[in-house]
Amino acid sequence: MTGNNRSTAGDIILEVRHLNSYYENSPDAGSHESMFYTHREQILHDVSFEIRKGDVLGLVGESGSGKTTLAKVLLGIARDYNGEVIHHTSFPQMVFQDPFSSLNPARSVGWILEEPLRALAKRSREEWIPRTKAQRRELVRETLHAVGLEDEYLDRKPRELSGGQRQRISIASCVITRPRLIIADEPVSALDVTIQAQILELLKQLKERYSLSYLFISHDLNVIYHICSRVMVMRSGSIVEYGDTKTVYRHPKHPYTQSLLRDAM
Amino acid sequence: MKKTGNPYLLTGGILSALLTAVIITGFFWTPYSTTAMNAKEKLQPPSAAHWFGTDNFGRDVFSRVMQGAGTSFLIAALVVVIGCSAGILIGSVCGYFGGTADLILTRICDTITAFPAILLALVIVSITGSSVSNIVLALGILFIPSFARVVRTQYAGIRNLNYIKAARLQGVRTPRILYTHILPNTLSVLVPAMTIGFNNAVLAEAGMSFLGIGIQPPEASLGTMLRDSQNYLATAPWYALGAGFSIVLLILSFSLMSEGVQNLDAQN
Repeated sequence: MTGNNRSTAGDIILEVRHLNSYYENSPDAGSHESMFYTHREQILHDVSFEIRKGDVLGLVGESGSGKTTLAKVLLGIARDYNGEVIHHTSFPQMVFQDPFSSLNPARSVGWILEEPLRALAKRSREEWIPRTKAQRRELVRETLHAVGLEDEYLDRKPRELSGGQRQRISIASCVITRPRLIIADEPVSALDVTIQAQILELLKQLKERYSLSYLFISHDLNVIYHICSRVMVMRSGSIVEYGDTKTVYRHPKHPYTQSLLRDAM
Repeated sequence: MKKTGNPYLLTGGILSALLTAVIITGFFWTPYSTTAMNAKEKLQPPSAAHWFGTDNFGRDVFSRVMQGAGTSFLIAALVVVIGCSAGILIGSVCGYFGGTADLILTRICDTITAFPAILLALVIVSITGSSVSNIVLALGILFIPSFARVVRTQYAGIRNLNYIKAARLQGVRTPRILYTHILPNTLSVLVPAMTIGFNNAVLAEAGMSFLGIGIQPPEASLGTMLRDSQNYLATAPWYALGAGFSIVLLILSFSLMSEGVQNLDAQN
């Protein structure tokens, strides 16, 4: 993590300035080749943006445009970058696209939701963090209700849940540590259309309840329109359009955005 | 746990339970003394008094099988414990972190595997002297690579799954990720590997004792009994059968159980 944790009076929670990121294109680790040569490729080109408190920033672009790489840089997973990434609040959490691999199959829902709290209790002294098992269970139950599930799910294993239910649990395990920012990488694109609407609605509710901001990554312009206040269009690692959702959708400036919108209609 | 449609687990479980019961009894009590010789009753065929007959010293074969199976069982169990725990440690670190250390450790494991395990164990034990602890240690170390390889593959796959990425983002510490988050997900592969390892260890110990570099008389092990019985194969086949049959039964029951566990996993 090379991002700083500066506190400012303003309501900016994440700043990104002139970010360039690179990817070591090496063959599989463990093979002979990986020891001897790698190929370093630039993925992101001069990316700058900011996320304010309460923002839902949409990130659109086709696959391979660098959306997930940007998320990885923000989360400190990809470390090969230059430029500034400044987190003004606690570290962001992430909701993944595939709800079938985002929950530990060997553990129960209750355990999965308690785990972030146990980890947090070890490294933070903040007041609200539950310290006893009973307090943790209470908060887990409360969060489970907040994502629209009942107590009976606590003892279930992920394989007993549907895709939508799993995604609710994933979201719960993110909000339970009270982050300010959640990065959602295609959180609904693996789900049925009806379930998609429910999850989007849930994300909106949780945003108000926990005063969250989202970086919402999607290739689906309709989904973005439904939930995002601002939108950022990415192509080959560069941001080609960045502005209010309504403005961008009505008056797209860049030809790429225009063609994306035309295709989506 | 579903009982229907899993005959392997049922037969394997019952057989292993019975065998384990007999073996544990053998630690404390046997029908006859395992060392007392009786010249009048030597090489008796199986009878109501001596279920498996008697050997060339007039000792009760069944009593000696009980004790010998106990020795073999203990050695095999300890070998699996050593091999498995070290294998988990090495395999998890290699699989999770990858990189150069993984490359080197994997190559070392491959090198060890390239030699026949029994041959290496024979060499080690003939140098260090044949005691139970030396046999256990030699076999235990030689069994590490087989476990390490299985565990490594699992960890290398699971480390890239989203739930592990999520755990890292949540700030869960690496040792906890390795052994609380990932390890339970490797059990479906690890349990069969342990039963197979156990079987191999039983065979390895029997093989070493058969060759005379294992358990030393008068203590009984299934391997030493097999070796002693070969001179009487024509005149007293029950002697060899008692020991051989026990080895087969021990291995069969654990193989069945491992098969059953795998089926159980496939059902879920």
